[in-house]
Amino acid sequence: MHNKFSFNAIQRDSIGVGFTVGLYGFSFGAIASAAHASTWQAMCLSSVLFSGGSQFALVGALAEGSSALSAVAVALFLGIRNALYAVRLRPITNDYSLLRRLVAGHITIDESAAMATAQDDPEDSKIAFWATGFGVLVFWNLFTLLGSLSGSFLKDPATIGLTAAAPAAFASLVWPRLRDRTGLRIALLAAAITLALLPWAPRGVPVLSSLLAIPIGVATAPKTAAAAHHESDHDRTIGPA
Amino acid sequence: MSWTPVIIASVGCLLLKMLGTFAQTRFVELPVVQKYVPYLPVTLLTSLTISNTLSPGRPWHTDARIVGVAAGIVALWRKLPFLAVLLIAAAVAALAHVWWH
Repeated sequence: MHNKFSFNAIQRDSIGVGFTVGLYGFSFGAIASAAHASTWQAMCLSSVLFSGGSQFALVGALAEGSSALSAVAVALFLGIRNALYAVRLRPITNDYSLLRRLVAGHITIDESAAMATAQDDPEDSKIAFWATGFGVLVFWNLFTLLGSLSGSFLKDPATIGLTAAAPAAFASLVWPRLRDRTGLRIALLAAAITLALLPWAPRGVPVLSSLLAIPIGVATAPKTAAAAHHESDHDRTIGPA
Repeated sequence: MSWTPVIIASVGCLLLKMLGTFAQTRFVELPVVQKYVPYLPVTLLTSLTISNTLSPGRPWHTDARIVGVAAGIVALWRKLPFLAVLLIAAAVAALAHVWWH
């Protein structure tokens, strides 16, 4: 694992992941623009928040008229898993200087965590973590900028198309998580709660209320599903969440 | 769009990452965190898929979006890549919108 060839292969793979995921930044920029976010706001989210699921969720919730409070709450709930990734990555970030640890924390997302934990060798993990994290950061921001700028030129019916692209993006992020049986059960419960509340509850309430599906779904899960659940945040295909 | 939620969500999500990088890590050991946190994305994103497709406050009211989202789900089922799913959803919704009016 230490020869020159495999070193380059890890970097090439990681940057490839960074570019592919970064491309989705275009859809984020365009969708944010259709939701009346300025280019500066889209760039603030892509550079500072820098976590696709939370970014799409914040913009989507505000676009459907949720209060700022519930939109922020949904984004933060989705951001909690990055804290867990950061804890898991501490063995490779602990010996860095304060500045490098701050940067490492910032680029801790689904993809960098997944690429780092996929390596057997700790040195390879570091290479994969930095190359993937920076690759996604650079390309995600570049394509967010392009998406936001092109989105602001669009008129109906292209804007209507973009308002359908947002829920389609959410569905894409959910899709790989439905292979896990407990995940599927929880998704169905969340769908039922959302549909039941949507007609009469204030905007934003259905999405936050769907969280009730988690304890119910976990409590009613058959014993065999318990073992699978630990992997449920890592066995997904690469995508911006 | 107001700047307030944009800034609070940005700083808050960044702080969550820093919490994981620097803070005491015992919270990760809590059973409630171990059991529930992995399912936050599937739950919230399922709910957002539905609430972004249907107009809130008016049961069963939607527009061309639902046709686009349905096309996107078929694309997912056919295992098409993320960008293809979004393009299909957007194109079908735009066409359906033109048809509808």
